[in-house]
Amino acid sequence: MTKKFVLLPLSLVAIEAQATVYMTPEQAQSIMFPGETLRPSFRTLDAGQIQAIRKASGVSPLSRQLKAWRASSGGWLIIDEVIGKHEFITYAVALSSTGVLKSMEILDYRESYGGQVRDPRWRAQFVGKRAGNPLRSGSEIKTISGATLSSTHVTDGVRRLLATYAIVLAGG
Amino acid sequence: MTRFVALFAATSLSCATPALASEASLKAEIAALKAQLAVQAEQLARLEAATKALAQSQADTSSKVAAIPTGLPTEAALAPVESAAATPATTIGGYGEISYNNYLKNSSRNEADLKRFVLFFGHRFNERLSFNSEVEIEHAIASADDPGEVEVEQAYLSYAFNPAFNVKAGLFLMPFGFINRSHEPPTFFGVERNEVETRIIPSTYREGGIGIFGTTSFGLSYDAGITTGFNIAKFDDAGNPLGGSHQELVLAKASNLSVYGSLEYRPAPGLLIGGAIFAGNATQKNADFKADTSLPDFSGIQSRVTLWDVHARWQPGRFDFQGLYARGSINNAAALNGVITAYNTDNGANRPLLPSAFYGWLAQGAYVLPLGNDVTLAPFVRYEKFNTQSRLSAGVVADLANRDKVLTTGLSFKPIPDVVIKADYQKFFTNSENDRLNFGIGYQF
Repeated sequence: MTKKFVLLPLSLVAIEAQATVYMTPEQAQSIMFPGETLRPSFRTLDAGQIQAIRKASGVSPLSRQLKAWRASSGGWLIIDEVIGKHEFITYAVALSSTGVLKSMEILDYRESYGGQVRDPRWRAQFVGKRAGNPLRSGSEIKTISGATLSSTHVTDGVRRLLATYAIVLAGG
Repeated sequence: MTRFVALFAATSLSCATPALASEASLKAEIAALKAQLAVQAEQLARLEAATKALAQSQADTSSKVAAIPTGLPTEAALAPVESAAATPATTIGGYGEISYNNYLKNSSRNEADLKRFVLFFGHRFNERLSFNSEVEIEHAIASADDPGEVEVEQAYLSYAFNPAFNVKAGLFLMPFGFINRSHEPPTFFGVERNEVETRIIPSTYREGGIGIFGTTSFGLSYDAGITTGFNIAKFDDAGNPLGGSHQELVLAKASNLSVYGSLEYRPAPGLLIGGAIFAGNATQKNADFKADTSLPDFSGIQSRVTLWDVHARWQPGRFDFQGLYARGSINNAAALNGVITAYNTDNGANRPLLPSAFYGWLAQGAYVLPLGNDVTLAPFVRYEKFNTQSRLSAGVVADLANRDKVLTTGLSFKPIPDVVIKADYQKFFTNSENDRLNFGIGYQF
């Protein structure tokens, strides 16, 4: 047992480490906006916008950098991160030109457990939501048993991004 | 540079010798060196200028490229998506709970306790390899004069090949029921952990070994492996058959290893069904007696311990329903009890006798009432039944204290999702002297 315990990690370190990425941003773009052209439209949130987002969604942005792309159809792609239980979850939302959520994808999930947020049936609950809609884990969005923190934090993140769209991107 | 210093040293040494003729040649050499240095300085300046020009043209190119509207974002545009850089390599988390029990029939049993103070330490070595651990202090103080305990409840390495296939090695939690894996106070109802997931599934149940686990995108999770097992010689409580005999990786006897496996399926959001099984020989080749012959001699007896459970959870809207059934068995309990009975008679000892089987089940319903923002109030009710001596070998008498039907009802108030204030009332139908009110606070971060 001791031998195995020591040898296992050593032999594994030899394997080249790669990101446990389910989807690169490029793949997310082609899945969420097939055949469309996307232009980076990155923003840096100012203090007023951060406060407005916090007031509207109840959640503060983790980063001042808003990673958004404008699709040729007028829709938006936003890539964002939330903390799961202890580690970051990278996810993307696709919004229509009027800010309705078309799809949500998990790009990168690092925790050993709680990866059920990737389940397409769970993610489908977000489709059709827009800024101002009630969107809470445990009521509109079902909490995942055994992955309470991950599912709650992703739900909070999507609610924050919908508010961010309304406050920052809706003007164009 | 080094040469120059060496030369200088040699010069100062040679100065000590009265050789004036060498001074002229030295001066000439220094002049030559100075000229060489000047040439090199000029070369350096030219190189620097070239580098600056290159960097400028690179910056121009990338800004031009960034402005080109293409379907594929440029490297520069994607640069901020660097979760790896943003992820801390070491993570710290924790949870804790403080409880107060008020016994309705005998207030001398009232008790307040800092039940658990727990810290999680995790470290990510790279994208695939990580370490997880959980250190727990129970009952506030662990010392020679205090009943507290310091425990490492988890310490394992985990390697991710992909989401559906991971390998872990070390000390980790067994995938049974609900509470064994998520026992942070905000995640369960009631101040006290339920009886079934304490007495039938020993809490907190962990073993050392190797396992594989994963989650598919269609909602199926699995966890299976080979680990240390139970040690029957350590059996010490008929009311909690596996509580004393699970080894917790404390110099665990490992001549008999066990296997475990679990499957959980989430057919739709808010619905979970799952089950787990653990089985292995638990006499450990009579290791305890071989180390200390004053203990009972179980030589020649084989005994397999098996534990299994099925559990389900359904969360329609704001409701939360849970159900669980768990059952364990100890093979050859009659032969083992024969040894223990003889031992008790010979030594005037009082070692408890083993049950052949034990089981428990529970049904629980809760309603999570949102009170604005993230504040929630959740009333719940739970009914459970357990019997730690449901099947006994001939001549063993059951103790009524080891079976009961318990009704628990109370409230969980959460000012934020990670903090909980709890209050509940528990009615014990068989052992009504245990009826009590419980109050508690808990947190996780």
